[in-house]
Amino acid sequence: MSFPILSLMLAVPAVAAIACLFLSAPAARLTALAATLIDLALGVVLWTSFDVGGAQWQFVEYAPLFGRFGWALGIDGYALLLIVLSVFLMPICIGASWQAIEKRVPEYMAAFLFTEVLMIGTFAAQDLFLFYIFFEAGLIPMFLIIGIWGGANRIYASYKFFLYTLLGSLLMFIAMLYMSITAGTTSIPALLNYDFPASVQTWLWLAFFASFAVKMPMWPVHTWLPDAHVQAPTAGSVILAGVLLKLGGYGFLRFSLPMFPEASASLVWLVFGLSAVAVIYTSLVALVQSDMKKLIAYSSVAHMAIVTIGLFAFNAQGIEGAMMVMLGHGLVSGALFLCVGVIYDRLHTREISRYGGLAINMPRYAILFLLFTMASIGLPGTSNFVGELLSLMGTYQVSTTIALLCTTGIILGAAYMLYLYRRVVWGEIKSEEVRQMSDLTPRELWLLVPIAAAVLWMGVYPESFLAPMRKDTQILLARIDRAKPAGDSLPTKGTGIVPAAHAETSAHGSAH
Amino acid sequence: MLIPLIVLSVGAVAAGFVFHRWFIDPESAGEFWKGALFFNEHLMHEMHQVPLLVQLAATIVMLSGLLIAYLTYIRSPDAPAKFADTFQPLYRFLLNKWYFDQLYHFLFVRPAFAIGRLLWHRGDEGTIDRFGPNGSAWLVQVGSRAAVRLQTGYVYTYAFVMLIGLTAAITWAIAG
Repeated sequence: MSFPILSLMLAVPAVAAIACLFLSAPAARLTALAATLIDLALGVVLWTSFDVGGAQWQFVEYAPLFGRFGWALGIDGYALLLIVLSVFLMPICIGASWQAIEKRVPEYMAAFLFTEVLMIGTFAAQDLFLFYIFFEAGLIPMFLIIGIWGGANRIYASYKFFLYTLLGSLLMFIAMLYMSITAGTTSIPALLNYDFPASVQTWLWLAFFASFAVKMPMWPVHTWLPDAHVQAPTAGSVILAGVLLKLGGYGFLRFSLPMFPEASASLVWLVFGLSAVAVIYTSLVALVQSDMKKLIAYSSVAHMAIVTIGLFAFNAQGIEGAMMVMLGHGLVSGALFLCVGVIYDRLHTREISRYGGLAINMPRYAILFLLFTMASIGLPGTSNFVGELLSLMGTYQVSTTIALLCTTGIILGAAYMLYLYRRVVWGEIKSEEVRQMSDLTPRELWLLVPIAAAVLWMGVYPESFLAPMRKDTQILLARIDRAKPAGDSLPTKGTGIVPAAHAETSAHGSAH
Repeated sequence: MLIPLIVLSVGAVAAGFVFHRWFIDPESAGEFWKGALFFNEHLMHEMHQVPLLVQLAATIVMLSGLLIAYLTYIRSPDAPAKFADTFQPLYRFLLNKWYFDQLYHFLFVRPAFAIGRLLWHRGDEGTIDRFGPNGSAWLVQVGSRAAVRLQTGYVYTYAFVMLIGLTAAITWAIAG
């Protein structure tokens, strides 16, 4: 693996982003689309040449820069899947902005390409500070995208997003400084096997938690998300829900669990408690929303709580399920925001009550929206089912109570999604302007159909996605097993079916 | 519509004769299911031991249904309306599906919406946002306004503040 494919994947959008700044609007659109498609092709190459079950870290690159700081890249199965998700969603985001963005197009495209660089960098970084730079710098383009191309209340939303996220990240930065000085290395693979004293672990864990919980977002630091989603342009919402929320889950998986296993185990109650509250609380809030984007934003918080419980279940089902929910939610919530964007572009409102009866004049839209609604609920055959089932199964082995509470989230999820779908798509057409709305254009079909295909693929054959992370999960479990908390479900192995011959002699005789 | 119905009715009548050997016969069905379903041979033997009335129950119910259908839809088609008139409350009760939808609406739907609205306005907006981001923003504004008032620009004000500080420091040094 001497070919620096990861650096190339970072370089392509970076160069294109700079080029965009000097181009006209149509040329910038084409450049952005071409660059994201090249990155998608590179992502496919990355996936196909990834050696499943091979070395833990693949495509490793290292170039010392100064002091301990180096250009260290490399991916494992988790990072691979999240990078593939990012490069898959990126061309779709550019396509979704094709007509919706009218002002400052070159700058917009540059911001999006810059976001792509930072997302891939975050997942590929193998150096603690390199990770921090990519992770934190992701705020800048998103702050601009919401603040410049957002809705009416965009300034409030962008500042809220920025301040929330920054506050948590600064605590994480302090923890990183401590870690690099104490351990004497900034290499993430080395830190993964460094044992910090248990008392220090708790503080470090909490500092990282401050950052990742906001990014995730977990209750009660979730209130930036509905505002950010409502104000962001469609593509901004897609990338925010699709990839940026996954940075929190990736952080827990990459740092909190393997680097601080004892602290993770002793603070499981905190994660489980906040997650259980989040699932029920935000699902109920989602139920009463009148703004479509806000509803989907609140549902994202509930889905992310299923991720956190799975991650902290300390078993393979939970962790792999959490990853599957992250991937599935990335596709489904992205697609749902696109579905909102499609009708927003026609009627320029997100108020649910203004719509109704879209199935009559937009049948193709109704079918795709229904598919994503069902996937969001977590129906078998769709991506989210696999993840939610595994995640809840893993959680059940640790805490039956939390598993029970979080399962109500699935029921409430069905309630708010079906209620949304009923009001928007079914029923009678209420106004003349809704009657004028046309069905999906070929461009919009090109955005939604690939996601639909991926959602079904993940639901029908999840093995493609589970295989790359299986070995990483085993490595992670071997690392954290020593701290594994005792579960309260205590499952006992069943006796199985009594063999027919045996039953014949014992019970059958007395019947006659 | 008639042809599918005929096909289905053939199945309804004949399926049992054809498949009982594989599905429920104590001797052969265990072999068929091979543990895919839990098959209790003992229970299947017991099945033949139940009282005659239990064995005939399904047939009796079916025949009485047939009889009622014949009487009310063929013999005297106005009978159902008369029956509904005579037993108004019972008719309403059954027409509204035992009022289960209303019960669910009252028990689950309305509370869920009320709690959701409460959590949204009182929880997210009234507590988290009010004391979190909006509260900190307000605190910064108030704080800087107070700081502005202290920064008068007059040297004697600053000298006075320094004097207070010096006095306090000396007092603390002596007392400590």
